[in-house]
Amino acid sequence: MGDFLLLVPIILFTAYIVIKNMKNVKAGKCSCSESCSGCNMSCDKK
Amino acid sequence: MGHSYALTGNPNSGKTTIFNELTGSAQYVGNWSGVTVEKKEGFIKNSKINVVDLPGIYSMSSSSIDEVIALEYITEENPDGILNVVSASNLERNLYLTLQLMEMKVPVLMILNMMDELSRKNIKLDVDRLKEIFDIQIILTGQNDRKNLSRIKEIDLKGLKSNFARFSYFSKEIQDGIREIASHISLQTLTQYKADPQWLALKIMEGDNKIIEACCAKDAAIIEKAKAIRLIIEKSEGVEFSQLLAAQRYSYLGEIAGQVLIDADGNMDRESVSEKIDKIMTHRILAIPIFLGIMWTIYYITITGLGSKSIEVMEWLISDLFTGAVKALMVTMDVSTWLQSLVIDGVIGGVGAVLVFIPQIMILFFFISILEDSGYMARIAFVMDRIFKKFGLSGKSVIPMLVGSGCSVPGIMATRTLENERDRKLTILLTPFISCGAKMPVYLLFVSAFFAANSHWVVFSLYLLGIVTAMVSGVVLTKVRYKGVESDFILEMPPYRVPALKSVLLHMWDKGKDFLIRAGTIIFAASVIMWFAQSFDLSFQMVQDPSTSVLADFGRLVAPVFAPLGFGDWITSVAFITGFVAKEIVISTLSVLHGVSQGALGSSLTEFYTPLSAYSFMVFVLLASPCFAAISVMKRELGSWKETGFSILYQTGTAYLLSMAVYQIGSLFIK
Ligand SMILES: Nc1nc2c(ncn2[C@@H]2O[C@H](COP(=O)(O)OP(=O)(O)OP(=O)(O)O)[C@@H](O)[C@H]2O)c(=O)[nH]1
Ligand SMILES: [Mg+2]
Repeated sequence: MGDFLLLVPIILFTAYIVIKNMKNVKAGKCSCSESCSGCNMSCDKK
Repeated sequence: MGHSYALTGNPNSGKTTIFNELTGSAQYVGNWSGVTVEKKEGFIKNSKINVVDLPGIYSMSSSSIDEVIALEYITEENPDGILNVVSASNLERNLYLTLQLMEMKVPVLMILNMMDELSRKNIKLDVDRLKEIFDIQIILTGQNDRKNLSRIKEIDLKGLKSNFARFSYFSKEIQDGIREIASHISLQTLTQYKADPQWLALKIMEGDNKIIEACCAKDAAIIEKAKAIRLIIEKSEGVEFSQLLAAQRYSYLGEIAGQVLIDADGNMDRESVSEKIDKIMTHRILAIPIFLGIMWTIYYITITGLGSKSIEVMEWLISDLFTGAVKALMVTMDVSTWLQSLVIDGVIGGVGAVLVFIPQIMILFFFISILEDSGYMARIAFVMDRIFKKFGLSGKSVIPMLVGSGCSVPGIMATRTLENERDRKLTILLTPFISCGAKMPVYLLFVSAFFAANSHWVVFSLYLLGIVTAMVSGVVLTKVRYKGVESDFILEMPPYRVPALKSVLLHMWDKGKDFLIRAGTIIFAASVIMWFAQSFDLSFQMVQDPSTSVLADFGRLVAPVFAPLGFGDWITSVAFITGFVAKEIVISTLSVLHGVSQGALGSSLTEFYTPLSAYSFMVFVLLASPCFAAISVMKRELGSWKETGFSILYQTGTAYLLSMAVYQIGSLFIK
């Protein structure tokens, strides 16, 4: 039970981050403050 | 629907400072021209008013990308009103833009900033007279005195009307011309383009192609007529039309300045404090040693001084306190051992390896932020310009590189201020050579393990190596690939300012927060993936020994490539490759794959590297292709994958060769 409670969120979260970042890179913008420390100033937050 | 206002003004007049104050954001502020290079939106606190921070402009004409962004916004997006930020300490030049905004007949609210500097110079300003002349409302503000800004919420800009006698300062011929052309502009054009007819007329006369294209490209008659009038005026005056306009505007502004500025004790023309400081700071011989001295001191404090203590505290916090608690919790929850390993060796190991260095990163950014806000950065650019010019490089490349010492992404963005396409492309390629903040944790880990006493010297040498590599590459590439004329460099020298503590701390906190967020997201994800990849073999069986995992197989495939650099092991190869995702991931990968906790990582590295190969390792991390985020911005700014691909290959190739040179030549001397 403990295993399940721990493993599922970790896997889901990891998958979410990977997909989100890949999308952002493809769209030519870095995901705000995630994959680069300067993004706060370079992401068009539209 | 709430209103939408645009913040416009000269570069370095304090627009972003005011934007941050109004909206509560933490956008980049710095004491040089061209900090903001794209538009930023936000809402004024507790209101529905949208404000847009724009790059600075000197006038309504443009040559670089950032200026075009600002101009297009003002002329095409029809904001409900313009918040014109004017620096009181440089009034005449700032009003040049104000005058042009008034000519557009759009609602303008003037925010007269830097009032503190004015009173420090002991110059009085007749604000009422200024209000009267332009027939507009003025809000006064200055450092530590921003309370008047709240009035913006109470004023409905859209309803503002000014009876300012625009164009009255132009000669009669020009005024007649404006009226003549304006009377021919069709109503249809005006409703479609939503601009004032007389302003349009002036623009058409000036031959502003962009505006003509947008409003009246089909109306050949009017364009011809405007051109005819322009030519007649140019002939009779013997000057180019746009120069004539500028001259007449400036002579009018001179009059205004004479009326509103009262120089209490004749200070205005005396040598300012900034000029005195600059005699030393930009001294022909002393300037470079001073710069090096300052950087060395910063690294000394960050790494050996304050910084080294912080590592001990962080290690204790993470590996003793936090790991202990998590472990105990998992045991009570009856979690299987392999999952415990995922959490402890994978997640905490990987993320923790980066977190340990957060205080040092914040200390570093505290200092960088002071350099930027005091105005010293602009001096370094000026000094470096002298050297760069000798090598045929543009001095304007210096600012992006200096910004890049925080992070390559904004550095690459900062190239938007370069007018010349060739310089811009070249600078985009060179900026990632400068050591960025994300590379710091990698150095910090290695220097503490291998160079204890001389840590700061080693990091300092890497910083210099980055600059030198960028310069040498610049020289080589201008000869080979980016041929063309170099542009003249006009850098506006801002006055020295005492950095606002609030903004320095904000900047530092923001950087720290960025690292925390990165640690919690992308580094977390990378650590989890690394842990899985090193735990299974090709047939998806869990392995006892990571060196039989699928990741190790992959690493060994690549390893021979890196052997000439001093490391042929699979872990290093994998670490290098993960570095393309984000530079800090290099150390979380090392931590996960070596399967040791933070405190022990350094000592376990000493079994794998010698000081020489450790140095060669850092050289590679410093110079190789930047991370994905930077690559994607490079692609956007360069506009083509071909150029981006060339840059990446060039950077990685340079990294490989230099790091090999370090190792091979070094091996001759060090056994
Ligand atoms: N003394 C003083 N300094 C100020 C004031 N407002 C801003 N500054 C400083 O002026 C410098 C420029 O501020 P920014 O807000 O970046 O200026 P900006 O107009 O956005 O500049 P660009 O983005 O380059 O066009 C920074 O160093 C600020 O700390 C003020 O009222 N008084
Ligand atoms: Mg700005």
